[in-house]
Amino acid sequence: MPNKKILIAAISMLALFSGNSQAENLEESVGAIHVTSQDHLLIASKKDPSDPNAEPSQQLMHENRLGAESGPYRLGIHFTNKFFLNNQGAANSSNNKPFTLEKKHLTAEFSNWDIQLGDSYQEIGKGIALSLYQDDVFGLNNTLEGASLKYRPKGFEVLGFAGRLNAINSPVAVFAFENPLKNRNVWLMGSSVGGNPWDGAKITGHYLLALSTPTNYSGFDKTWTTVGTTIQQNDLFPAGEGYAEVNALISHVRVAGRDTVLPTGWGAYSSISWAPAPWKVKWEGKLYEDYVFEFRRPPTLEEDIVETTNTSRVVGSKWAADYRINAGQGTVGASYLVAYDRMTQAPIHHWVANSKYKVSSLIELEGKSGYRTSPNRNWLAHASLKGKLKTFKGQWVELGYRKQYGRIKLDLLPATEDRNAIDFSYVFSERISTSLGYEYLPENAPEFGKHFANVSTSLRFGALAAKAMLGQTSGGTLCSAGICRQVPAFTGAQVETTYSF
Amino acid sequence: MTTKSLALLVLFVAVNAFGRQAPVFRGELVTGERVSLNDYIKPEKGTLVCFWATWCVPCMEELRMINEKLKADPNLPINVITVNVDSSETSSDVRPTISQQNLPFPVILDPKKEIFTRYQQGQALPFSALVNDKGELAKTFEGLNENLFQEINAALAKSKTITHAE
Repeated sequence: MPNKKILIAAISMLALFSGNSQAENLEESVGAIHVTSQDHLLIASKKDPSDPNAEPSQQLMHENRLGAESGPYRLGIHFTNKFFLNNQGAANSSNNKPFTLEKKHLTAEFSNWDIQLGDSYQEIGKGIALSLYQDDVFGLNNTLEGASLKYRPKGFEVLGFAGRLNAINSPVAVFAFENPLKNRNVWLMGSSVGGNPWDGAKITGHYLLALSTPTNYSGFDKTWTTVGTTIQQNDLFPAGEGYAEVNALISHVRVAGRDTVLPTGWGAYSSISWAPAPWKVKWEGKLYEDYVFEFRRPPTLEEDIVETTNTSRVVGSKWAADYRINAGQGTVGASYLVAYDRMTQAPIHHWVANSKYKVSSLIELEGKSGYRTSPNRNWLAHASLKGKLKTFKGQWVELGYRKQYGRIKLDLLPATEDRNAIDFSYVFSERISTSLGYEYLPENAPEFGKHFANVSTSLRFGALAAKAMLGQTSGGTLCSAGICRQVPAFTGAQVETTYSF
Repeated sequence: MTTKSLALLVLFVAVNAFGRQAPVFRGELVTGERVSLNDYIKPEKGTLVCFWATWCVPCMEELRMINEKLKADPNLPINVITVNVDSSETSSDVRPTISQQNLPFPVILDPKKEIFTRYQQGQALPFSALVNDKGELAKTFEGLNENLFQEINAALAKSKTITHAE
């Protein structure tokens, strides 16, 4: 039976891919209704890093976003299909999810009104109070399943929304996060009011109520109430602007029938920037104190080097400066982050320098290095260098080297991390490119391996894009849009296609 | 399940029989005004929608290349609008980057990537979409493309909208 389902899914994919190229059949558009489709298929075969002798896990993951739009109206659904391709026992076959309707929405956008019914992404301010978003790298896709209404005449904006949190059930990603709503339901109601009181200014106030209950609905055992405000001022001074946001979080939990009010949480962020070309100078500050609420994505101020696990009890400041050389020939920059992690009660310092320069019409170089330390706990030195050399018309070679060396002190057991990675890519055209990767981790225990090599290629034909990868990666810190997480090592193969327009 | 899959198969085939209209979007410019894609579609002109982020170095390179090309040849039948997809982590860099890079193009803010995901599933950057004067998606460009303008001209000529020679 699973093979029959896979066959039907494969035929569906072939029917989709056999469609006409992008610019053809335009004359066949039906009236004012336009249908769109985005298809994503991922087949992965990977070994369990903790049990190399076990049979690899083979999964076929697929998702499609179908939509129809006419004038200001848009209707869409998002569904997924997930199959285990080899039988690894009854447990895995029961994990097949042949069809899951993940999201659906009906949206209407008018001059002053936005109406969303069904699933929508919501974010308040800089994501400190609430951020429901999607990230394909980690298979994150959290939406509000309910209704959202925004009224925005000139200079004024009112937003209201309510509904239930809806996390994707079958993410199409190799390193997908676990469903954050496992065994729980979370309900949200929020509103914000904002306006432009004077030139270049925007001030908003917002409120959010979140209620959480176990899936067997034994009552709301966790509630959060958030109030906050944001202020944005453009042209604060010549070529300068500023932003400030403050949130207060009041949390109630019920344990063994007793209600407890937790300490009030505070979440604040501020930035000031000055950018008289060719300079760009920025200061950012964060203060998160007892801010424990899962569905947010607050600014961390950290580089995409380390996994930032603490966004609840930390304070920090970051200065950054950037200079454009010779009207775009290159850039040089530097930054310094100082922070205090209240959970570990340890300071953090991180210095970073970076540069990009076009040496000639054929050669470009890009480099970055830094040093991050939390005295008496850990330190990390990192560096990367990437070069691009043009060869034939529309073709080039890219060679990159990355190094990370540091000491991690976990309680009384210090550990050394030494990562070396080389990447070689050749771009034949905008349609075809090939890459070779090699990583060397000399401090790894022998059973985990010290050498990791992989090869990948990507193809693009019209609306169809395909990528294939074979080999190993060492895992470690993987970052996407400011979110960094530890991912396990990977050994196996992946084939991924997308078809969208 | 079989009935559902067959229904989806029919729908997939049907999708391919219809035209490829560019997803129409509305958004807020970095200057605060609300605009729509349709505001930029002009007769006998193509509209290039460029998606970028402050941390995307090739995106900056592409925007500079486009800016230089348009300065050198102001008669090119191309409108350029950009869509910024920085998340809250880096969104405070958007306006300073626009100032530092002297970007003259309209910048629509898309921090939740609602516009971006309607154009590209993979969310790879840089990514640009060329819309002809009928609102149809003529071509998409993924990655930094040094032959961008040759391909733009070819795509627009193929869609029989513009016959401008470079």
